Amino acid sequence: MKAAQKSIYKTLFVLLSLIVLPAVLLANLQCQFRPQLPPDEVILQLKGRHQAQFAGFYLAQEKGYYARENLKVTFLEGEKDLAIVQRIVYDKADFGVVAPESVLVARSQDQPVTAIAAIYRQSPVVYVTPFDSGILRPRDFLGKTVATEDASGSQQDLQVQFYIMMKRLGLDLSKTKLIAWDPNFTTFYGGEADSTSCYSNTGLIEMKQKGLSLNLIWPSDYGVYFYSDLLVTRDSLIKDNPGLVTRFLRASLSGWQDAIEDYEQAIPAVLKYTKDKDPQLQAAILEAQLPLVHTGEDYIGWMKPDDWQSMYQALLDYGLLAKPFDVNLAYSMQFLNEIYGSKGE
Amino acid sequence: MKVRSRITLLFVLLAIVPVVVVGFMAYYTGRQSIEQVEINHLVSTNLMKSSELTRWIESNQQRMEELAQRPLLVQYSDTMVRFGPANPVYDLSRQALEEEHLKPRIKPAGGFTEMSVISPDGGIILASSDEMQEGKYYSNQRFFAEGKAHTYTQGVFYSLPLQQTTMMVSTPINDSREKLVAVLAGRLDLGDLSSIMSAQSGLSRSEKTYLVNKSNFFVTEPYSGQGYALKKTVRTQGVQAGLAGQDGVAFYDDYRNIPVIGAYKWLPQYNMCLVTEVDQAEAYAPINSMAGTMITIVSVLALLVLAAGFFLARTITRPLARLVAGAAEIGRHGHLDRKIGTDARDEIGELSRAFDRMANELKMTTVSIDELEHRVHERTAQLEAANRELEAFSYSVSHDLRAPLRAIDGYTRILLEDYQPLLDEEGKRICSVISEGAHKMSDLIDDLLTFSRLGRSALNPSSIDMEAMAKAVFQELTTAQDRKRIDFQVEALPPVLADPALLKQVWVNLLSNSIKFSRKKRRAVVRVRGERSDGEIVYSVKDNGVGFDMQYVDKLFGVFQRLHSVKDFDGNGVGLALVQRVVHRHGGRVWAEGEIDKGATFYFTLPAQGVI
Repeated sequence: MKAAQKSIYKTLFVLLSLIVLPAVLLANLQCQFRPQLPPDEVILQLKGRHQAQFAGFYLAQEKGYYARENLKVTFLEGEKDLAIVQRIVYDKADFGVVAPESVLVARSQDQPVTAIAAIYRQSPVVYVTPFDSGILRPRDFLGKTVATEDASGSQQDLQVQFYIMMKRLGLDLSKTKLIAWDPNFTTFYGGEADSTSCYSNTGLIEMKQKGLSLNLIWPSDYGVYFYSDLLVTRDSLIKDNPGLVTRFLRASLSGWQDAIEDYEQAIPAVLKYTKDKDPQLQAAILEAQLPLVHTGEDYIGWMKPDDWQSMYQALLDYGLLAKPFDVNLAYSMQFLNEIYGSKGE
Repeated sequence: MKVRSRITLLFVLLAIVPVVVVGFMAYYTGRQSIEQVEINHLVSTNLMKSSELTRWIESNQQRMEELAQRPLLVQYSDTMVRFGPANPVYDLSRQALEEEHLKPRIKPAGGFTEMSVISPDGGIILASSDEMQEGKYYSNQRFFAEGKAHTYTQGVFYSLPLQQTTMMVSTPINDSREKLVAVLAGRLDLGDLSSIMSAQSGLSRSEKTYLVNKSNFFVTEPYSGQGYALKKTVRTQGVQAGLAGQDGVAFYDDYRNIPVIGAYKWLPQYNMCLVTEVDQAEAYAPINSMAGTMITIVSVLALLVLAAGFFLARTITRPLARLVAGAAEIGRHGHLDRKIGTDARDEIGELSRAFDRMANELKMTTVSIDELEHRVHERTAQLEAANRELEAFSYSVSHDLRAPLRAIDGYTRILLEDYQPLLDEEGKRICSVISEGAHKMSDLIDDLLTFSRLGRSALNPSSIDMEAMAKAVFQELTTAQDRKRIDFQVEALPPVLADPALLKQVWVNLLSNSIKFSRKKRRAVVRVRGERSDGEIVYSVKDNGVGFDMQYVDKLFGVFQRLHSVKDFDGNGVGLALVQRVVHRHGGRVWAEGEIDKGATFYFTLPAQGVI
């Protein structure tokens, strides 16, 4: 009886081996025939120091969305006065997080950079005044002191948007005393400045944490519509390797999708990169940037020709552009359309 | 399994199985009907809420349209647009607009939280119920662009300047020639939307209705005050199906990972999905409590039936146990007098009484067997005594016969030697016949003596090398000439524990028979074999001699029985009887097989363990 059982097991074992072994071999062969290509190395030049402002990119890295697209992405921190656009044009970086005015200025100088998505679809630039100051709207700035000058590099928009806003409303800038922008807001806190510009996703949080009661004057309320963080790349990359651009954008947008779908979950990934390890502050930044990235309408990263036209016109009027050009060259919807299909409309 | 356990189990099964089956069916159908009721309720809630939402939006749109057609409002707006802020009528018109038309439409009197008139060219707010809004631009807002052409509602979106979610309705202000004068925009109170969504039927505590936009963001709060609107996404099965443009109902885990029944409905006009969900725990609470009650009833019933079955089984198994004990006592100790005794009237009582009767009859039978045994014993003793006497008699007869035989032989020899000259030829022949007869008789008597001695002498067992013994006996029985003629084959014979002297007699008789009866063959073959089988060893001697007719096989082993005439083969017919006697005394068997002229085979067995 036992011997019979043994021989049954033996037969089964042999049969199984006959089935399993070739399957395993075949699977191996298939693997060998589909070799994994080495990942494409890509450098993303950030606009500033590591901070929650770039959470989506961190999540794309940490959650393996880049790896899934067979990309090896390196993040480079931005520094003061660093010409990010130049770095992209001259192949030092492949993609960059850049302000729209930088792109438009570069484009007006015939530099071959193109925006492929708008991460911050609204500008966080806001002008604040003490609650009881009576300064409620731009015309109230006349005769007052505003700290918004000389903010260069990535903070250029603080100054630019102020100028454009005042000009648009036909207000005489010379009647407002403009002093240097202070990232620590000491002139504002000290009363030297009646108003200061700041970003809703950083400085404004700091002020709110201090318990200040403020009036907020938004440029967008006065017809100044700006995107803020754009994802840009050089034209040659779009032309030579559009697949790479699509893959990078798709992975980045997935990261951003995660960053806004549940911003609290993004905190650990952000803390991994930032110098400031205060999770509450990073959480506040993450929450504050939600409406900048996603307004409840359209898709993450989506751009509109009207918005581009508006930004171009504003900068042209302001005189920042070297010469007039076709604004449609400054951005490309090719990759967003490819990723979202017709859904974006 | 014991009868008691079996009966108890049977009781439990008979009682519980139907209850469980019926209970399960009741639960299943109950659950299904609750599901159906709940599904109907959720679907109708969804329909109701979506129509309320539509009514709310449409009624607000109508109010806006009505307002936009008021001649005074058109006139004030036209004045502001046409003359510009430098003209004094501008401010007058603005004040009139705000006080007479816009502010009265604001909550609590009206339905809006903000109402503005926007210039059609720059998108600048000309007049607003909220003075803070004056001078601001709505130029790149969708509701402004659409509102220039027709009445438009911009779904829920997040306004960065207002730092809150909001919803706008816009409509064109046209003059009497249908020329666009300005755009009227009203901000809807999302509190109204929330109350539409959160108004409950009162039937359920966990029920919730909420809107989700096509980017999976909550548009309204699932439960009030959570701060989820446009800050958290939801990707549950119901929401995904709704966003895929489907209407339906599903069972899934909601955004809190709590199982719900959810109805979803795609609202294409607003690009949103309406979801109404109720916790499964609450929906199924009645049927679950019924299931709980049923489980309790079944458990109690099971315990009761278990006890009842146990006691009933005891009434059956207790008399049975007594019967078993009684039977065991009778069987083990032979106490046939023991009475189980019962006056029960059931089958077990009858069985007990039958058992008692059986024991009684058995007792009587046992008595007669004892008596029989006793008689057999007695007879055997008598027979043995007679046998001994008979053997003693035959021994003494044989012994006593030898003396006269010797006398006959002696005197016959004297006659032949001393009186030879006096005897004629016939006389000499008679004398030698007498002498020969006497010799033969003497041999017969010797054999008889040996034979009878065999029955009496005690066995002296020792280990015997049967192979060596058979070969030695063959040597003794044959001359060199014989051995040339006879092919004597001996296989390895198993040794045995037996009396060597008697065993030698066996070999002598069997081998001499073989030699004798194969004498007439020019080439004789005698083959000796031996093998173990079933606790005994079977030895055999086979020859190719004259053989015998199998119909006389019974006579082979009798004393003085011969199958061949003395003329052909000498011998007195005692040899095989002797063999049989020796083998029987050792506890073995003998038999033979043969065929005339084809030879014979003689078998004998000895116990493998030696002599019994």
